[in-house]
Amino acid sequence: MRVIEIQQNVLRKNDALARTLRERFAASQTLVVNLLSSPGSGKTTLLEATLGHFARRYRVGALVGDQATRNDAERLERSGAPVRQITTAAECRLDADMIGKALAGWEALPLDILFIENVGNLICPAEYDLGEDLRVALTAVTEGEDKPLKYPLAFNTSQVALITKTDIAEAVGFDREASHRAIRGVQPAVRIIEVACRTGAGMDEWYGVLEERLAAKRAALAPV
Amino acid sequence: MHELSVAMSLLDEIGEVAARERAASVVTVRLRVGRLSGIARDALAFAWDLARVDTVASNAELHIEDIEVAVFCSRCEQERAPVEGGALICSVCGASAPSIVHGRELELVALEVVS
Repeated sequence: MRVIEIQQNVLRKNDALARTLRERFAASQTLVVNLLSSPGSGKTTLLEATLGHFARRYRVGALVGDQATRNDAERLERSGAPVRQITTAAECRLDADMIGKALAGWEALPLDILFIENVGNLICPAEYDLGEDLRVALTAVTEGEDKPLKYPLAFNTSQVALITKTDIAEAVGFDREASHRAIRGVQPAVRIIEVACRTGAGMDEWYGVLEERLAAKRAALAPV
Repeated sequence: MHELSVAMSLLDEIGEVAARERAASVVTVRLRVGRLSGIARDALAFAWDLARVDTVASNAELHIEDIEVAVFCSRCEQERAPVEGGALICSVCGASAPSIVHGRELELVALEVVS
């Protein structure tokens, strides 16, 4: 009997594939946004509005991960933007390989902004790099303020935290200060934006962040 | 909930190492799993039993070492345990410490094999 020392990350293949995707998105100057949340936090509603907002000025599209059904993809297609569904079956998260396969032969490419709606789950998707530029964690005012403390990695690895459904905050007794404190408790550098898709409140700030990020990516990639 | 796919990735990795090292079979697999990795130990052990059938590791025992969360506190200038309750805050000085040093591990550490 002998011992072989290895010390290797089991997910290193995903990390390697994510690097390949990142190079590809750099070449096409595509801003890639990975949306993470629990089921029912409002990812699809946010994307419907966001795709609709940008569709006239930019080439935008979405990949939508779901364990079953095409319902979310069908909702998003009504925005007029190109959408591809990734049905993950037993898998509770998207991985870089699924993204690579979903992009193959997609006539909508290249895009200015690619949104990836991850499977509704705050645990598993947090460990899978999809080659994104911007990771966005959503939490709705209906969820309780301590979600970030229960699922710290999702918020810790995000650059933007969106608090959604703020139009009903008062009705559900949402504690705004506790929510911000919980988010900052796991990632003080995160940009917190409060939005209500139904009233449009806060959406301009969210759109502004996307525009800034797209401009920054293009500037960084521009030949000197 | 992605323990089965993790078990399968793990077995792919083990298969490659065993082939490279010309091992006839794998007796023990040592894995390090961080508390923040999203991997449930029992679910992984269950998935492992399903996934190892007919592989070079079909009789291998899986040893999982749990790794506690540690953060780097830039005020203390050292690695610290975070406070209880989920926030990434230094348990010694109370400063925010979002840089995770340990707790995200999902590492294949070593194999014991017979050649």
